[in-house]
Amino acid sequence: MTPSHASTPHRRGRWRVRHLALTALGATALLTVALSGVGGSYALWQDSATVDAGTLTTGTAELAARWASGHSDAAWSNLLPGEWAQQEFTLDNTGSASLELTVAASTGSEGFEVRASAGECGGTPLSSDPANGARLPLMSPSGTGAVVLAGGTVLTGCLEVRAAATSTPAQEAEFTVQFDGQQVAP
Amino acid sequence: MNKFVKGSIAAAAATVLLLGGAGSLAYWNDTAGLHSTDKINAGKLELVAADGNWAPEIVKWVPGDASTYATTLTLTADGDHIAGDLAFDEASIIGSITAAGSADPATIRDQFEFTFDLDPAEADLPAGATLSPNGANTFSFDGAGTYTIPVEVTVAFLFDEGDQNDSMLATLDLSAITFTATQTAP
Repeated sequence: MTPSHASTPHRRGRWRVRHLALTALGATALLTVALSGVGGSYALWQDSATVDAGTLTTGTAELAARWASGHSDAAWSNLLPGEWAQQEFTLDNTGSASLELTVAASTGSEGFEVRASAGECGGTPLSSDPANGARLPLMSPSGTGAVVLAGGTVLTGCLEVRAAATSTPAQEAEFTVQFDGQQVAP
Repeated sequence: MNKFVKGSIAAAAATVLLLGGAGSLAYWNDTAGLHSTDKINAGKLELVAADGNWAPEIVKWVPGDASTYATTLTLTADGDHIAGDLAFDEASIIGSITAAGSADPATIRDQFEFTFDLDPAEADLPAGATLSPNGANTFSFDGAGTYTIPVEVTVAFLFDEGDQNDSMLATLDLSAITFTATQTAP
Protein backbone atom coordinates (compact mmCIF):
# COMPACT_ATOMS: atom_id res chain seq x y z
CA MET A 1 0.00 0.00 0.00
CA THR A 2 1.31 3.45 -1.05
CA PRO A 3 1.49 5.88 1.86
CA SER A 4 -0.71 8.99 1.49
CA HIS A 5 0.85 12.43 2.02
CA ALA A 6 -2.37 14.42 1.58
CA SER A 7 -2.51 15.65 5.12
CA THR A 8 1.09 15.72 6.06
CA PRO A 9 2.67 18.98 7.32
CA HIS A 10 5.14 18.71 4.48
CA ARG A 11 2.33 18.74 1.88
CA ARG A 12 0.57 21.67 3.57
CA GLY A 13 3.81 23.66 3.58
CA ARG A 14 4.31 23.18 -0.11
CA TRP A 15 0.75 24.27 -0.76
CA ARG A 16 1.29 27.51 1.21
CA VAL A 17 4.45 28.28 -0.74
CA ARG A 18 2.66 27.72 -4.02
CA HIS A 19 -0.23 29.89 -2.85
CA LEU A 20 2.12 32.70 -1.88
CA ALA A 21 3.95 32.44 -5.19
CA LEU A 22 0.71 32.66 -7.16
CA THR A 23 -0.46 35.63 -5.12
CA ALA A 24 2.84 37.42 -5.63
CA LEU A 25 2.70 36.71 -9.36
CA GLY A 26 -0.80 38.14 -9.63
CA ALA A 27 0.13 41.22 -7.67
CA THR A 28 3.16 41.75 -9.88
CA ALA A 29 1.02 41.46 -13.01
CA LEU A 30 -1.47 43.98 -11.69
CA LEU A 31 1.29 46.38 -10.77
CA THR A 32 2.90 46.01 -14.19
CA VAL A 33 -0.37 46.75 -15.97
CA ALA A 34 -1.01 49.72 -13.75
CA LEU A 35 2.43 51.17 -14.33
CA SER A 36 2.50 50.46 -18.04
CA GLY A 37 -0.02 53.15 -18.82
CA VAL A 38 -3.10 51.22 -19.78
CA GLY A 39 -5.87 53.74 -19.73
CA GLY A 40 -3.50 56.66 -20.39
CA SER A 41 -1.27 57.78 -23.21
CA TYR A 42 2.31 58.73 -23.78
CA ALA A 43 3.15 61.81 -25.76
CA LEU A 44 4.97 62.30 -29.02
CA TRP A 45 4.65 65.66 -30.64
CA GLN A 46 3.92 66.09 -34.28
CA ASP A 47 2.67 68.89 -36.46
CA SER A 48 2.07 69.20 -40.19
CA ALA A 49 1.92 72.11 -42.55
CA THR A 50 0.29 72.04 -45.94
CA VAL A 51 0.83 74.40 -48.82
CA ASP A 52 -1.61 74.95 -51.64
CA ALA A 53 0.31 74.97 -54.89
CA GLY A 54 -2.86 75.18 -56.95
CA THR A 55 -3.47 73.01 -59.97
CA LEU A 56 -1.28 71.90 -62.80
CA THR A 57 -3.00 71.85 -66.16
CA THR A 58 -1.53 70.22 -69.22
CA GLY A 59 -1.95 71.64 -72.69
CA THR A 60 -2.49 70.12 -76.09
CA ALA A 61 -0.77 69.50 -79.39
CA GLU A 62 -3.13 70.48 -82.18
CA LEU A 63 -2.37 71.33 -85.78
CA ALA A 64 -4.84 72.62 -88.35
CA ALA A 65 -4.23 73.02 -92.11
CA ARG A 66 -6.23 75.01 -94.62
CA TRP A 67 -5.77 76.55 -98.03
CA ALA A 68 -4.97 80.20 -98.17
CA SER A 69 -7.64 82.51 -99.55
CA GLY A 70 -7.99 82.46 -103.32
CA HIS A 71 -7.24 78.79 -103.65
CA SER A 72 -8.49 77.09 -106.83
CA ASP A 73 -7.91 73.59 -108.12
CA ALA A 74 -7.83 75.11 -111.58
CA ALA A 75 -4.34 76.35 -110.81
CA TRP A 76 -2.92 72.90 -111.47
CA SER A 77 -4.95 71.97 -114.48
CA ASN A 78 -3.56 71.40 -117.96
CA LEU A 79 -0.01 70.97 -116.73
CA LEU A 80 2.51 69.86 -119.30
CA PRO A 81 5.45 67.63 -118.39
CA GLY A 82 7.89 69.73 -116.40
CA GLU A 83 5.36 72.44 -115.64
CA TRP A 84 4.44 73.27 -112.04
CA ALA A 85 1.86 75.30 -110.18
CA GLN A 86 1.94 76.60 -106.62
CA GLN A 87 -0.66 77.63 -104.09
CA GLU A 88 -0.28 78.71 -100.52
CA PHE A 89 -1.61 77.06 -97.43
CA THR A 90 -1.72 77.88 -93.74
CA LEU A 91 -0.75 75.73 -90.78
CA ASP A 92 -2.13 76.77 -87.42
CA ASN A 93 -0.67 75.36 -84.23
CA THR A 94 -3.63 75.77 -81.91
CA GLY A 95 -2.05 73.77 -79.12
CA SER A 96 0.45 74.58 -76.40
CA ALA A 97 3.49 72.66 -77.57
CA SER A 98 6.05 73.55 -80.20
CA LEU A 99 5.75 71.14 -83.09
CA GLU A 100 8.32 70.02 -85.59
CA LEU A 101 6.57 69.69 -88.94
CA THR A 102 6.74 67.00 -91.56
CA VAL A 103 4.80 66.56 -94.77
CA ALA A 104 3.68 63.49 -96.72
CA ALA A 105 1.76 63.37 -99.99
CA SER A 106 -0.08 60.66 -101.80
CA THR A 107 -1.28 60.83 -105.39
CA GLY A 108 -3.66 58.57 -107.16
CA SER A 109 -1.16 57.86 -109.93
CA GLU A 110 2.40 58.47 -110.93
CA GLY A 111 3.19 61.39 -113.17
CA PHE A 112 2.72 64.14 -110.62
CA GLU A 113 5.06 65.31 -107.91
CA VAL A 114 3.98 67.19 -104.81
CA ARG A 115 6.37 69.39 -102.89
CA ALA A 116 5.86 71.68 -99.93
CA SER A 117 7.92 74.19 -98.03
CA ALA A 118 7.41 76.77 -95.35
CA GLY A 119 7.08 80.34 -96.50
CA GLU A 120 5.16 82.08 -99.22
CA CYS A 121 5.35 80.90 -102.80
CA GLY A 122 8.11 82.80 -104.54
CA GLY A 123 7.38 82.07 -108.19
CA THR A 124 10.29 79.71 -108.55
CA PRO A 125 10.17 75.90 -108.37
CA LEU A 126 10.68 74.42 -104.94
CA SER A 127 13.99 72.72 -104.46
CA SER A 128 12.82 70.20 -101.90
CA ASP A 129 12.33 66.53 -102.67
CA PRO A 130 8.88 65.29 -103.73
CA ALA A 131 6.80 64.21 -100.75
CA ASN A 132 5.00 61.53 -102.75
CA GLY A 133 4.90 58.37 -100.68
CA ALA A 134 7.36 59.72 -98.16
CA ARG A 135 7.29 61.74 -95.02
CA LEU A 136 9.77 64.56 -95.21
CA PRO A 137 10.65 67.43 -92.92
CA LEU A 138 8.84 70.60 -93.90
CA MET A 139 11.75 72.80 -94.73
CA SER A 140 12.12 76.50 -94.48
CA PRO A 141 12.57 78.35 -97.78
CA SER A 142 16.28 78.47 -97.18
CA GLY A 143 16.29 74.72 -96.68
CA THR A 144 18.30 74.94 -93.49
CA GLY A 145 16.19 72.61 -91.41
CA ALA A 146 12.79 71.38 -90.43
CA VAL A 147 10.42 74.05 -89.34
CA VAL A 148 9.33 74.18 -85.70
CA LEU A 149 5.98 75.89 -85.20
CA ALA A 150 5.46 77.26 -81.72
CA GLY A 151 2.16 76.81 -79.93
CA GLY A 152 -0.39 79.44 -80.81
CA THR A 153 1.38 80.54 -84.00
CA VAL A 154 0.53 80.32 -87.69
CA LEU A 155 2.74 79.44 -90.64
CA THR A 156 2.24 80.12 -94.31
CA GLY A 157 3.53 77.48 -96.67
CA CYS A 158 3.75 76.81 -100.35
CA LEU A 159 2.49 73.68 -102.04
CA GLU A 160 3.67 72.82 -105.51
CA VAL A 161 2.30 70.28 -107.96
CA ARG A 162 4.58 69.41 -110.85
CA ALA A 163 3.84 67.27 -113.89
CA ALA A 164 6.66 64.80 -114.15
CA ALA A 165 8.25 63.63 -117.34
CA THR A 166 6.29 60.43 -116.94
CA SER A 167 2.92 62.16 -116.98
CA THR A 168 0.61 61.31 -119.86
CA PRO A 169 -1.86 63.45 -121.78
CA ALA A 170 -5.25 63.95 -120.08
CA GLN A 171 -4.03 62.25 -116.96
CA GLU A 172 -5.90 63.11 -113.77
CA ALA A 173 -5.00 62.37 -110.17
CA GLU A 174 -6.32 63.28 -106.80
CA PHE A 175 -3.78 63.97 -104.17
CA THR A 176 -3.71 64.30 -100.42
CA VAL A 177 -1.17 66.17 -98.38
CA GLN A 178 -0.79 65.46 -94.69
CA PHE A 179 1.15 67.61 -92.30
CA ASP A 180 2.30 66.12 -89.04
CA GLY A 181 3.58 67.92 -85.99
CA GLN A 182 5.63 66.25 -83.31
CA GLN A 183 6.41 68.04 -80.10
CA VAL A 184 9.94 69.12 -79.45
CA ALA A 185 11.26 69.47 -75.94
CA PRO A 186 10.72 72.95 -74.53
CA MET B 1 -13.00 25.93 18.70
CA ASN B 2 -9.33 25.53 19.20
CA LYS B 3 -7.16 27.54 21.50
CA PHE B 4 -5.72 29.70 18.73
CA VAL B 5 -9.13 30.95 17.63
CA LYS B 6 -10.25 31.59 21.15
CA GLY B 7 -7.09 33.52 21.86
CA SER B 8 -7.49 35.65 18.72
CA ILE B 9 -11.04 36.63 19.65
CA ALA B 10 -9.96 37.64 23.09
CA ALA B 11 -7.09 39.72 21.79
CA ALA B 12 -9.37 41.52 19.33
CA ALA B 13 -11.86 42.34 22.05
CA ALA B 14 -9.12 43.69 24.25
CA THR B 15 -7.83 45.89 21.44
CA VAL B 16 -11.28 47.39 20.82
CA LEU B 17 -11.68 48.15 24.51
CA LEU B 18 -8.25 49.71 24.74
CA LEU B 19 -8.80 51.89 21.67
CA GLY B 20 -11.55 53.86 23.25
CA GLY B 21 -14.40 51.81 24.22
CA ALA B 22 -14.18 53.22 27.69
CA GLY B 23 -12.54 56.61 27.09
CA SER B 24 -10.16 58.22 24.60
CA LEU B 25 -6.68 57.28 23.71
CA ALA B 26 -4.50 59.43 21.45
CA TYR B 27 -2.37 58.58 18.52
CA TRP B 28 -0.46 61.24 16.65
CA ASN B 29 0.30 61.71 13.02
CA ASP B 30 1.56 64.40 10.73
CA THR B 31 1.87 65.10 7.00
CA ALA B 32 4.67 66.85 5.21
CA GLY B 33 4.49 68.10 1.57
CA LEU B 34 7.09 69.33 -0.87
CA HIS B 35 6.16 72.65 -2.40
CA SER B 36 7.80 74.60 -5.14
CA THR B 37 7.00 77.95 -6.64
CA ASP B 38 8.10 76.66 -10.07
CA LYS B 39 5.68 75.07 -12.49
CA ILE B 40 6.23 72.37 -14.99
CA ASN B 41 5.85 73.85 -18.44
CA ALA B 42 5.55 71.78 -21.58
CA GLY B 43 7.01 73.16 -24.76
CA LYS B 44 5.54 72.88 -28.22
CA LEU B 45 6.29 71.79 -31.72
CA GLU B 46 4.67 73.79 -34.48
CA LEU B 47 5.18 73.83 -38.23
CA VAL B 48 3.80 76.53 -40.47
CA ALA B 49 4.21 76.81 -44.24
CA ALA B 50 3.98 80.13 -46.03
CA ASP B 51 2.32 80.57 -49.39
CA GLY B 52 4.83 79.81 -52.09
CA ASN B 53 5.45 80.65 -55.71
CA TRP B 54 6.05 78.77 -58.95
CA ALA B 55 9.04 79.68 -61.07
CA PRO B 56 8.58 79.72 -63.93
CA GLU B 57 4.84 80.00 -63.96
CA ILE B 58 3.38 77.70 -66.59
CA VAL B 59 -0.25 77.98 -67.61
CA LYS B 60 -0.42 74.97 -69.92
CA TRP B 61 2.17 72.32 -69.23
CA VAL B 62 3.63 70.25 -72.04
CA PRO B 63 6.02 67.30 -71.81
CA GLY B 64 9.50 68.58 -71.07
CA ASP B 65 8.31 71.40 -68.85
CA ALA B 66 9.63 71.79 -65.34
CA SER B 67 8.87 74.30 -62.66
CA THR B 68 9.83 74.80 -59.03
CA TYR B 69 7.51 75.65 -56.19
CA ALA B 70 9.33 77.48 -53.44
CA THR B 71 8.02 78.13 -49.97
CA THR B 72 9.31 78.73 -46.47
CA LEU B 73 8.65 76.57 -43.45
CA THR B 74 8.67 78.03 -39.97
CA LEU B 75 9.37 75.44 -37.34
CA THR B 76 8.90 76.40 -33.72
CA ALA B 77 10.55 73.89 -31.43
CA ASP B 78 10.08 74.83 -27.81
CA GLY B 79 11.66 72.50 -25.26
CA ASP B 80 14.98 72.18 -23.54
CA HIS B 81 15.82 68.89 -25.16
CA ILE B 82 13.62 68.98 -28.21
CA ALA B 83 14.69 67.28 -31.39
CA GLY B 84 12.88 65.70 -34.27
CA ASP B 85 12.52 65.04 -37.96
CA LEU B 86 11.17 67.28 -40.66
CA ALA B 87 9.81 65.26 -43.55
CA PHE B 88 8.36 66.00 -46.96
CA ASP B 89 5.54 63.68 -47.99
CA GLU B 90 6.04 63.09 -51.71
CA ALA B 91 2.77 61.21 -51.96
CA SER B 92 0.92 64.34 -50.93
CA ILE B 93 1.94 66.36 -53.97
CA ILE B 94 -0.76 65.15 -56.30
CA GLY B 95 -4.12 64.92 -54.64
CA SER B 96 -6.11 63.88 -57.68
CA ILE B 97 -5.82 63.78 -61.45
CA THR B 98 -8.55 64.63 -63.88
CA ALA B 99 -7.77 63.10 -67.24
CA ALA B 100 -9.32 63.86 -70.58
CA GLY B 101 -11.39 61.21 -72.30
CA SER B 102 -10.46 57.66 -71.43
CA ALA B 103 -6.93 58.46 -70.35
CA ASP B 104 -5.68 56.63 -67.30
CA PRO B 105 -4.82 58.99 -64.43
CA ALA B 106 -2.21 56.55 -63.15
CA THR B 107 -0.41 56.70 -66.49
CA ILE B 108 -0.42 60.46 -66.34
CA ARG B 109 0.90 60.36 -62.79
CA ASP B 110 3.88 58.33 -63.96
CA GLN B 111 4.87 61.05 -66.39
CA PHE B 112 5.67 63.45 -63.58
CA GLU B 113 8.76 63.50 -61.43
CA PHE B 114 9.21 65.38 -58.18
CA THR B 115 12.31 66.57 -56.42
CA PHE B 116 12.43 67.94 -52.88
CA ASP B 117 15.21 70.34 -52.11
CA LEU B 118 16.20 71.66 -48.71
CA ASP B 119 19.60 73.18 -48.18
CA PRO B 120 20.37 73.49 -44.44
CA ALA B 121 22.93 76.14 -45.29
CA GLU B 122 20.12 78.39 -46.51
CA ALA B 123 18.03 77.89 -43.38
CA ASP B 124 17.97 80.33 -40.50
CA LEU B 125 18.55 78.23 -37.39
CA PRO B 126 18.36 79.05 -33.67
CA ALA B 127 21.68 79.47 -31.93
CA GLY B 128 23.24 76.09 -31.32
CA ALA B 129 20.61 74.20 -33.28
CA THR B 130 21.34 71.82 -36.11
CA LEU B 131 19.49 70.70 -39.21
CA SER B 132 20.89 67.81 -41.18
CA PRO B 133 19.78 65.24 -43.78
CA ASN B 134 18.33 62.03 -42.43
CA GLY B 135 17.30 59.86 -45.33
CA ALA B 136 15.12 60.55 -48.33
CA ASN B 137 13.06 63.71 -48.02
CA THR B 138 13.78 63.89 -44.29
CA PHE B 139 15.92 66.22 -42.22
CA SER B 140 16.66 66.03 -38.51
CA PHE B 141 16.55 69.10 -36.31
CA ASP B 142 18.01 69.39 -32.84
CA GLY B 143 17.70 72.35 -30.58
CA ALA B 144 15.07 74.73 -29.35
CA GLY B 145 13.97 77.86 -31.11
CA THR B 146 12.47 79.01 -34.36
CA TYR B 147 13.77 77.59 -37.60
CA THR B 148 13.12 79.37 -40.88
CA ILE B 149 13.64 76.87 -43.64
CA PRO B 150 13.33 77.55 -47.38
CA VAL B 151 12.21 74.47 -49.28
CA GLU B 152 11.59 73.75 -52.95
CA VAL B 153 9.60 71.15 -54.78
CA THR B 154 10.45 70.78 -58.44
CA VAL B 155 7.89 69.21 -60.73
CA ALA B 156 9.08 67.83 -64.06
CA PHE B 157 6.73 66.72 -66.82
CA LEU B 158 8.93 64.12 -68.46
CA PHE B 159 9.53 64.35 -72.19
CA ASP B 160 9.56 61.14 -74.15
CA GLU B 161 9.29 60.63 -77.86
CA GLY B 162 6.90 57.79 -77.31
CA ASP B 163 3.18 58.29 -77.68
CA GLN B 164 2.17 60.24 -74.62
CA ASN B 165 -0.86 62.06 -75.94
CA ASP B 166 -3.01 60.76 -73.11
CA SER B 167 -1.59 63.43 -70.88
CA MET B 168 -3.17 66.25 -72.84
CA LEU B 169 -5.83 68.33 -71.12
CA ALA B 170 -5.21 66.81 -67.73
CA THR B 171 -5.57 68.63 -64.44
CA LEU B 172 -3.48 67.75 -61.41
CA ASP B 173 -4.45 68.91 -57.95
CA LEU B 174 -1.43 70.19 -56.03
CA SER B 175 -3.31 71.87 -53.23
CA ALA B 176 -2.10 69.80 -50.30
CA ILE B 177 1.66 69.45 -50.37
CA THR B 178 2.45 68.34 -46.83
CA PHE B 179 5.47 68.72 -44.59
CA THR B 180 5.53 67.10 -41.16
CA ALA B 181 7.63 67.71 -38.07
CA THR B 182 7.81 64.78 -35.67
CA GLN B 183 9.53 64.84 -32.32
CA THR B 184 12.10 62.21 -31.57
CA ALA B 185 13.00 61.01 -28.08
CA PRO B 186 15.59 63.17 -26.32
